[in-house]
Amino acid sequence: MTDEPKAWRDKLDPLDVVYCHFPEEGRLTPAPKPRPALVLNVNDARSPQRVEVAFGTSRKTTDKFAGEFELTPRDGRVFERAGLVEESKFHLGRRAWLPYNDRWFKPRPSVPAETTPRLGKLDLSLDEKVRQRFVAAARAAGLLDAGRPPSDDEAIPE
Amino acid sequence: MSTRVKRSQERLVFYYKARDTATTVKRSSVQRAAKALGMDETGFLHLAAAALVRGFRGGAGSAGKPEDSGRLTDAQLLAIRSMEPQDVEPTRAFLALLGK
Repeated sequence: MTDEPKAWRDKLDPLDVVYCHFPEEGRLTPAPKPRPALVLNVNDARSPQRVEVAFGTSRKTTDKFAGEFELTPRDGRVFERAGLVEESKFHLGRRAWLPYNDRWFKPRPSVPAETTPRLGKLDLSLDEKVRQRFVAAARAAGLLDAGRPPSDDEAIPE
Repeated sequence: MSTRVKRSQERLVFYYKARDTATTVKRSSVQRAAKALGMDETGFLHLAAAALVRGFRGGAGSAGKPEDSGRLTDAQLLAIRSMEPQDVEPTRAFLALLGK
């Protein structure tokens, strides 16, 4: 028997950065593999709130993909405001709608004082270059083109 | 064999709190725990901070803490999308924050 997931009491906004748990390969249950995720869109009319997140990783990857947005400590205040502690990449083409509950979203591990999965905010007003990078990634992921259906990202050829 | 860790010149004045809570400690609690581990107070504080930093990062070297498994695979993305309804219309979108 499994407990019913509990909705988080706070509400997320677009461009919030959250801590999320995703299934491991071949499994259809959320696994204890926490990842950063970027909230793109929200639906406040449903309960729990539904949020569309772009999946991220803090693991070093050498592959470069279209639709990928990277945040590093070199981004200064934007990086700090996002609440990240490691270089992270968000794949804007890899996204899904999820209920904002404790089945999918959990606070950062080992920090007992944190009572929300929300890490911070991607504040694009702080740095125009970061904003331009984000817009370029969003465009590559098909998010700015209403005529183009949402698509997964594509590998950039060498 | 002992390993000496090079001492940094960086310093921080550390004020204890009057009581133990989820986020604070009082000095007697730290002294008691340090004594139990055979460490001095400073060593114990480094140990505690290092463990917390590793857990906070949740990345490589985090001593048993989970780390994410890299870029999400097609199978994982498909699994996630199949687990929850995807026919959701946004009431608020990031596009508004881009001025579009």
